[in-house]
Amino acid sequence: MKERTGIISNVNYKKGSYKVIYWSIIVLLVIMAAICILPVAWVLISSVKSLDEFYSVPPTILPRSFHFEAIPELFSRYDFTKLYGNTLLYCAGCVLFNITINGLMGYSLSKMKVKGGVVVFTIILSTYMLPTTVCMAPVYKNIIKFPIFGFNLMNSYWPLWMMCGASAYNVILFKSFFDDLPAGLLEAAKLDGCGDLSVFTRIVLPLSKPIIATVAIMAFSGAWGDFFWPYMILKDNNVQTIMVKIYAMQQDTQMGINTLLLAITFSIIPPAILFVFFQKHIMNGFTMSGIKG
Amino acid sequence: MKSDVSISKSRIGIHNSMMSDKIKRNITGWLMLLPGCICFLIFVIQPMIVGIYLSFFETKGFEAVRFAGLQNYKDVITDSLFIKTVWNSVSYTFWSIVIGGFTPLIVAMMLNEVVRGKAFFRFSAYFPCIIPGIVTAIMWKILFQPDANGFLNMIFGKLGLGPFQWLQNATMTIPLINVTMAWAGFGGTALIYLASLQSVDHSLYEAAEIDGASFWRKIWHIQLPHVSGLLKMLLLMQIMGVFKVFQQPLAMTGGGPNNASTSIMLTAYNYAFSYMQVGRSSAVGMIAGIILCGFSILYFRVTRKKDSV
Repeated sequence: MKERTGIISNVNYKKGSYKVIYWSIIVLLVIMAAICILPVAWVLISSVKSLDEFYSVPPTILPRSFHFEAIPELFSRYDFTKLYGNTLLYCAGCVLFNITINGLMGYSLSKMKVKGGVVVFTIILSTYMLPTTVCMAPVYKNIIKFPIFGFNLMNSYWPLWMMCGASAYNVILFKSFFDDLPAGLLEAAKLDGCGDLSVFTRIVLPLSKPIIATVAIMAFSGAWGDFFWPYMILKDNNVQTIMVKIYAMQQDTQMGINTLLLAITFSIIPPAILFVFFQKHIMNGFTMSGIKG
Repeated sequence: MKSDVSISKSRIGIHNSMMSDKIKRNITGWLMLLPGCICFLIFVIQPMIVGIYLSFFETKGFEAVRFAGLQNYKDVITDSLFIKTVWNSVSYTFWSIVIGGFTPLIVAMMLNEVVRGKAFFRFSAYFPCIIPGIVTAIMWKILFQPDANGFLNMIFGKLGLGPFQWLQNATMTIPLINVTMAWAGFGGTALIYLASLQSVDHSLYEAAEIDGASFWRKIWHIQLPHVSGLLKMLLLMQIMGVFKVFQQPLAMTGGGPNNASTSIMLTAYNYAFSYMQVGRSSAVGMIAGIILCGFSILYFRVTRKKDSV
């Protein structure tokens, strides 16, 4: 018998009324699980239905026939290989910017004690609090006419990556992690003749593996689902990510719905695989983000 | 005498090296801050200032043309569409609390009681969270297809009900979009509650047991007070989030039918990118921002209290 964590104790469970409550809870949870999983399962299964079957009367819940030849067709017609490549490149850049830029910022604010650091941190904190609802048009303006040299950064990943570098939440996360590193450790390394740089690479980096892993995984799964700014900026077919493409596909009334479902299936698979491997990191990261705000 | 001088010299030397050490550290520190500062400046801080500035100007494209005072605000507030979207936002918030406000807590309480199969239930509750937001929206739009072949109409059809119009029905649109958002988000929130519930001291249950407390009284007097701070905080966060709802109406209904599901942020987007009236868009953003600031202050009061307890 596994240990009970809730209100109902082993003694309680022997009573009839508690048994009823317990089993009603199980029934409700089974219904919940069905609501969570079945719609997605239906999408996965229906994506290999034929279009005729999709519109047949009476409709079928389980497909009569499977059309796996639709998969290579999808890949060739919409160039899914390229889409996957683009999305992976985009996600990799997001992860890199999130970790390096926010991580360096967090470290500097926590351990370097530079002049003006407090001001910088206060500003970053306030951008985290203040709603950024007025920013939509001015950000777009900065992208089509970059403030330095006036580049037009349409169809480029750089502005999107730079937005990842401006994640106040991650800066705060990194800073509070580095704040918890004992200062004595760094002092000791310095006394042994380490410079600032080698303290960072030899002592700090190895110790920060857990936070880097968490931020990286969260950043990757976040970037995979990014929609709004990629949709605004990546208008060229050659640079589009999967999310942008799927949005464009659902507006195309000419396209069969089974093709759209198949595309959705292939957009879900990578984050699902990531989730299976890093379940603990992702769930912990989520709980952390929820509690800290 | 001679040795004295040399000592003071070496002292100056130490002082100098400390000074240069400090300068060096400041330089390294600022080099580390620089890339981040540039990103924040270009994509957060400067746009915020420009946005506030533009809301007081007549605009052409993205440039300010003439100072207009509060004209943009007047135009926006007297626009009947804007009044409708404010009302819609209230409706979004209301339905979001009704549908998704307490579901996560209830699910967490149920998960907390389960002995066997807990990992499976926890996984299935979290499962919708791993699906990208825009895909969730499009997927539910397909499930809500109004004809007889839509997934939900198919299921309700087997029960002899429907077919329903779902998102095409103006009174149902906002509640249904909220159902979608609740579906996508409740599992993650439930995990946060679950973590809190698991930290309840078990001797409390046993003590209540001795006093003859029933199952429901134990929930009311032990579990609810334990999570009440978290509940307030998460509800406020949810209100702030749903107030900014944008992606779901954009993808699922485009704001329709007949603007029944247009949110404030969708209006700001439409002003800027469909009607090319950046000044008015910024004014809408400012109004939304001021309201959200109120929520932020409230949020801080609540969390501060929680920390001090």
